Amino acid sequence: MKTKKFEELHALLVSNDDNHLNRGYRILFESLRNKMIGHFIKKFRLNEESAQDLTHESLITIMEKAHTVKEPKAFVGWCWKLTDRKALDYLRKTKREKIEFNTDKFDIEIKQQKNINVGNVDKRICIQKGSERFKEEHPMRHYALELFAQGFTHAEIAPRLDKTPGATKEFISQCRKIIDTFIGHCKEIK
Amino acid sequence: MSTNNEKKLDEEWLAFIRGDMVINANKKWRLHAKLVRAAILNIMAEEERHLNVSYDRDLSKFKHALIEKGILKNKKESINKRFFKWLGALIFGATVVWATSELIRFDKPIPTESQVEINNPKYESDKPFSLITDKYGTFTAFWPWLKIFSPERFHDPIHIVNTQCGHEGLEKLNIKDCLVLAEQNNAAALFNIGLMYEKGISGKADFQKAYEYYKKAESLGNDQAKFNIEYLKEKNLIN
Repeated sequence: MKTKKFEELHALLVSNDDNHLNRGYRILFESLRNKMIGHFIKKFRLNEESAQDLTHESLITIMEKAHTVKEPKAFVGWCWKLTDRKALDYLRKTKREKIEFNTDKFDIEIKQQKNINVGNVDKRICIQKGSERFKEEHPMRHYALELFAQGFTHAEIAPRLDKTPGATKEFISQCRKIIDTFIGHCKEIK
Repeated sequence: MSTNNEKKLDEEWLAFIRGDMVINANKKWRLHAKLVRAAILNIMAEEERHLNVSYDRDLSKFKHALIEKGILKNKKESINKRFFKWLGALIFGATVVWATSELIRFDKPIPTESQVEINNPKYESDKPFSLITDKYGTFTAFWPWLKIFSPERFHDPIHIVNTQCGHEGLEKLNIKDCLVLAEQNNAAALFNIGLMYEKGISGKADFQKAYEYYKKAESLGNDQAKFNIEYLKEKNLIN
């Protein structure tokens, strides 16, 4: 959902008209529910149940506090920041540490080629399997690529990853080399 | 590979991942990147499918939470709620008014039944001669001699009767049956007779007689009679 649509959504949520609110809550749910659950799972490595609970809480908070956002353009960023705050609070309460992606490991990882037995498989299946492994080991990068594949710009992806747009661009451009360690061997399959 | 080439490759690859068109791209790379994009989208679609299983349940949970918090108003529900609240208040109010203005009284007969032993009237007569027709035939005889000439008639001088009183409602109360039971000191039957006199079921209403029967019933432990006596007194229907 692009920023402009979020501006329209913001207008619905701050309206005093019950019909607008009724429309607004549905649009909010439709556009953010699945994304938020994914965000909690991929970025904060939460289990699905906790992710669903936090999504529920976050959506309610957005409905409650949407009027505090004075600038409609900032609404989308505010939503994601709020989501992150919820997750961090949850992690603090449950005394779990936030799992940060360690970029220092990057060089080491690309030097270690993954020894995957190619066997006699289809190229498409090989890449699919490799991507799944990439997702398991680098959920944040996979998440960034997912957003990128959906057509989000670096600036739009940045607040979700807690990074600046420049850092986000760098983060995404590194993905090719990392994913190559998982699917590079598939190039040999005709 | 030079840094420039590397950078170009990255850009092209990312353009493919985003689904953009890239002119003059390496064919091998193009296929590779497109397959990666397809794999990423497949994984997303799979996740989406999985999450959509509980979509409706979560939406309804979200809606209810918003209604509870007062952010959303459920029009239909609020109208229904208001109506039922109003109806409840009305019924409660009416009940209070009725309970304070009306005296408690019981105006339904108490069903009662019993097997009553009755002396066979056929074999009791004030007259010296009497015509008797029974299962042994017809007989006209001088009473003292009857026991001598037909002793079998005196084997069953007691007649057992199944008597019911108040089983078929107030309108069909039979005073005779009730009187039979009343003679056996049946409190419920006494109450029923009192009720018949009070309501005038088999004749004109007679509150005084009703009071007397109620009194008898009360003395035998009938609580309903007690309430009806109070009622008669409060309404000044008896002296």
